[in-house]
Amino acid sequence: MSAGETLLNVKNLKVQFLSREPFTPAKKVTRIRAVDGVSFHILKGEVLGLVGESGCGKSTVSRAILQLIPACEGEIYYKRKNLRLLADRDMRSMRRHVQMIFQDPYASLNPSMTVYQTIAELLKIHHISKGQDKRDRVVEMLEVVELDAEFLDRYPHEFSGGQRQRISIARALVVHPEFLIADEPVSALDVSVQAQIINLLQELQEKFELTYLFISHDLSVVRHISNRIAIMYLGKIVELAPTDELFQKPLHPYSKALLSAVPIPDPVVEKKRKRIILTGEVPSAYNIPGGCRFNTRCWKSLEKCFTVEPEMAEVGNGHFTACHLYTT
Amino acid sequence: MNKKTVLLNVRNLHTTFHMMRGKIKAVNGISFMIERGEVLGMVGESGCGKSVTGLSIMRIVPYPGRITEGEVLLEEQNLLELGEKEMRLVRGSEIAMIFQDPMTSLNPVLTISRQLTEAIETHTDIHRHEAQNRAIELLKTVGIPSPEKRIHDYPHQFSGGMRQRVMIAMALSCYPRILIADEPTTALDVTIQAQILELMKEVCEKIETSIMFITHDLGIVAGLCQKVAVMYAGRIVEMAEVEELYSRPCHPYTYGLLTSTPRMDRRESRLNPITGLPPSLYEPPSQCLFASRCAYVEDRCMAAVPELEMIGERHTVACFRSNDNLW
Repeated sequence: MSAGETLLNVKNLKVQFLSREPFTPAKKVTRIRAVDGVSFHILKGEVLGLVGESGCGKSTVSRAILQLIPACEGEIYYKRKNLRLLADRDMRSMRRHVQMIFQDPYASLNPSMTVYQTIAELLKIHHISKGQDKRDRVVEMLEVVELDAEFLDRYPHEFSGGQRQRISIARALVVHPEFLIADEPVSALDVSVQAQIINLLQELQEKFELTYLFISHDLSVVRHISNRIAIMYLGKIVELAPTDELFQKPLHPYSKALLSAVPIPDPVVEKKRKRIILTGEVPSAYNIPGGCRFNTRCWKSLEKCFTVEPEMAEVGNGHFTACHLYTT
Repeated sequence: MNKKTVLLNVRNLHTTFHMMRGKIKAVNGISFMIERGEVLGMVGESGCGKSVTGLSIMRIVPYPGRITEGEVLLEEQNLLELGEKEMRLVRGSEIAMIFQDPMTSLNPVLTISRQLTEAIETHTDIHRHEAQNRAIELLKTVGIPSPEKRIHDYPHQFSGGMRQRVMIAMALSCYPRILIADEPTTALDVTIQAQILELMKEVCEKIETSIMFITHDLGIVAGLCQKVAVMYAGRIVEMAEVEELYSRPCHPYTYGLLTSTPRMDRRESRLNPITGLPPSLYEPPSQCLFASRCAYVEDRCMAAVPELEMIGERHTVACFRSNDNLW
């Protein structure tokens, strides 16, 4: 497969959780529409940034792609294979090609396994290499993430957050995947360490021709690493565009508010900025508003916004948005 | 140049944690001042001592930590000399503090009304009905809708952003002269963060409360603070007015932080990370503690501790090479 071809194609993905509202006595089952019809594609060699605030569904999307959580509707095509229709065994071998790194470096490594065991485990699961060859591959990966081979027999608690993230990256890459889902990989790290890991992820992308789905709430990080960005709100994508295009010309009111809320480490710029301060809170996922789900906080809403849910439509330049202001 | 009133004068503060393994010098000799109406930013990464500084000023450093040296002067009165009873009169009324996670700083089994009125009743002569009215007004000021109803709710019935507003209301209920805010928006979404920061700025300006804002976020500091102190390994390494600090950083650590932070308003090709890891704070050696990560290190950096020196108007830096025009 060559660069530029579609590696992942997600169509109308829906993930729901069943829940009872707290303190309701009766057996009232509510459906939380965590992901409510999400469609996007990722080209080989590309980094797609998936951004949104807590509860928007971005992590759920990533877990649904890997079939770690079952989707209830929609299609997930990886190289034209529909992952939702795969048998468990086939999905398991598919995971060799699609790997994931997680946010919490303290929770994503098994504390009772050494670094070697953690990384080698993946080789074992996917039946790749044995014996000395296995050891060599693990050492090679440690070098790639700039960790000393002497760390092989140490346990996770002996490492800092940044080092643990490097171990997680080594683990994900040891099976030479094509596609990596990074779910908030640097959010739990100190600023000076974040930069180290971000650089590493960029270098690895170039070196191994990887494709990334990069999930984060941090727009500054996402701007830096992504080719295209999708912004999610309450379970849906509200805008999707190439990175520079999105930052120069955000269309959806939520995107505008989000961008204006991000602090910029430059006092001169900050002084001149006109902030859009959203009123109100994000509606509860138990109770998604009718019409456009952003209508409770939108300062540009039309009458239509309260009755008709807007669809994603292209506005030009690979720039898509779901907003009645732009799609008549 | 107008001389502002100095409200808080911290001099050579040392706070040590006596652990089994040894002593951790969490705050290793810091000095700074907060003026009336000022917003001071204390910036640094985890473990630099910024939170412990806030706790030390409030004298609520948890065991096994202890303030071992220094003075904390609130308008001439040294808070470290006060007995606990007298300190309790200061805490909450003269200096108030809000924390990162409002869920753990609010009592989950008491209504907001109880918690808000407790602060008011403790520090003023206002009681019961009147105190509750004052509390409702405060909730209105911090933007809680239907405050008369919500005041009888419990913390878990509020969202994270709302809880933080309640915390702010509690902290400001007695019109303190200084508000210490320890990472109050770190756990909040960015759009909610913008609301809370805007609220803090507005309300504190109105009641003339100075703010000591503790954070690791250089973006927040740029937008909110007039003066910034950068902390590393228990020491202040640089302090300046905000525009000066960002345009003319003089300490390699400050410079490293600024050049390694991605910015939303532009895209660089590569970030310039600071290599290495922060040092252990157990029995720190008498040298510059940034030396092992510094790109500009020289022999003299390992021989002695650099002191904060003036290198410009209201700009101090603790670095032997501050005059070397390194970048």
